[in-house]
Amino acid sequence: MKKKKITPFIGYICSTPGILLITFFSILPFLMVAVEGFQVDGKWSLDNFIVLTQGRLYRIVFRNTVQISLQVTLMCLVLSIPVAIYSAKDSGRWAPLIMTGVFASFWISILVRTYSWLVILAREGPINDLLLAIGLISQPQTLLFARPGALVVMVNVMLPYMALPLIGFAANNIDWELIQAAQSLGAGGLRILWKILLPILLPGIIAGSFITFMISLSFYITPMLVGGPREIMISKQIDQELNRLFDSGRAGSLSILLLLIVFVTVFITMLSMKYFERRQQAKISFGI
Amino acid sequence: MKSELIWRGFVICFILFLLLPAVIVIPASFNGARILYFPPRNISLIWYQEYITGSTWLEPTRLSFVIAIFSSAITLAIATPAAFALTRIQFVGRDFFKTMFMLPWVAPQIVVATGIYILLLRLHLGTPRWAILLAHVTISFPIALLIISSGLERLDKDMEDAAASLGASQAIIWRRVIIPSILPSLLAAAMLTFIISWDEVLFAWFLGSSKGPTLPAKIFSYLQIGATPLPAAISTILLSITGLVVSIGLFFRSRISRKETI
Repeated sequence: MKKKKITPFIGYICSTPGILLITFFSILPFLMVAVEGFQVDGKWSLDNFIVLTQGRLYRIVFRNTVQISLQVTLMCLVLSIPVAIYSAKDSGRWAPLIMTGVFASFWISILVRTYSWLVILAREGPINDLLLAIGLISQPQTLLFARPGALVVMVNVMLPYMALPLIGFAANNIDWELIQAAQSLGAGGLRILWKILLPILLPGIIAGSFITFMISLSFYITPMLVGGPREIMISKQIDQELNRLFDSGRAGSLSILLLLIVFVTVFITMLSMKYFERRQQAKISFGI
Repeated sequence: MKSELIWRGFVICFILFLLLPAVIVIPASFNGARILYFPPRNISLIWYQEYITGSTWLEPTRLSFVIAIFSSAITLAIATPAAFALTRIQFVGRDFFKTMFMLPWVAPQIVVATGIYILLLRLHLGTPRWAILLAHVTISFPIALLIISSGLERLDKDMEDAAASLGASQAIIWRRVIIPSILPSLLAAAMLTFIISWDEVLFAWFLGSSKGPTLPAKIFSYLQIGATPLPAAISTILLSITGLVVSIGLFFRSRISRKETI
């Protein structure tokens, strides 16, 4: 039986449309942004970058971006770890179901998800109604447009990005019997968590945190709608510069700043993965 | 065991936390007044009426729909050959292409949108619709590629070999064996790319014009002024359409897999 080998030429032909698309709609835009960042009124200059280091505004934008992204990532992590551990139960019997439930939230548009929180946290919304009814507050509070409310909404939107990789990883790597064995030896819950579960979950934690953090960095829609002026992140500032102040130069330099933060994040993540991998190897070779 | 219940309760609350908020738009849409009371007051369909009457909202809806359909079609047209090339053809630079194809996924969308905007500005092209369309195709491409590739990889090579050994020509193998097998993946990719484009806000906002926005872009600009029950009515309709698309897709998927087993 003859097996026909397809010439490599066809491979290039089939890939060309995709390559062209990405070149013109991913790579070229990047270059345009870089070019804009280095230009002021058509002349090459580093002004756009120098201006970023002066003035409180850009420092606040930078700090907010990193700070909020870290906060959101951490909260998503804390919420997702118990779910991930539970999904490893019964050899991951419930994992597919749980993941489907989490995945279902992707079908809901981000606008709907964000807007629904505008309804929930509104002054006349259910949360305020509840708090008034319990008597915790005497007047409806503005829960939105401030850090706590914004964080809740952002966590709600970002949670699937953390939960899905973590649950998938946990279901494949955690042996529930290990936990039971440790329990029968007298280990308490916290100890099991710290000494056994977290080390096993570490690659999954790094992966999920990486994805969540990266997306949070360039987050635009949700912070725009539920964040207050103190929650301004870099995407909103880029939008301001580009669409309202018509300063494509600063939009460019801010975009490059964002890319730099992204690269640093990638770098740190890869370093930590290498580090933990080496520790794992060391443990194995020492027979631990 | 009591702790078992706590664990399970936590997981259930977790999933409810993810899914329940969206459900609240449904009752909120029936508020008669401009304020988002909950439970809704002055029950009325006035916001649905506002959505359906006139072209203020229907035109963006139509635009979004058209863009989504074309985005889905074009993405599939580009991603299917690419998936085929990546999974079945050996050529130099295949891995490099593979990495490059994932680029739109990892790139910060705001930077890309800014770049496209500046590119269009420099070329004096304004805010054409096809820019949004191609931006949608670009961001849908990686995941469509992933889905179709995994569909191709799961293909049973033995079936093709068996057909070939029975004397089937390459064309027939394609028509009768390969295409029906990847049809579920194609459908899934089509559904997903449609919804990605239909719901997409950022590129639609950055690259769209204020006179002819897509539906999500218009909702987004509307929400920046203030929140009324109108987006709730629209969201309810949007959710229903999404639900409809997903159900149709799942229905066809089950029909196709049933045909396969026969």
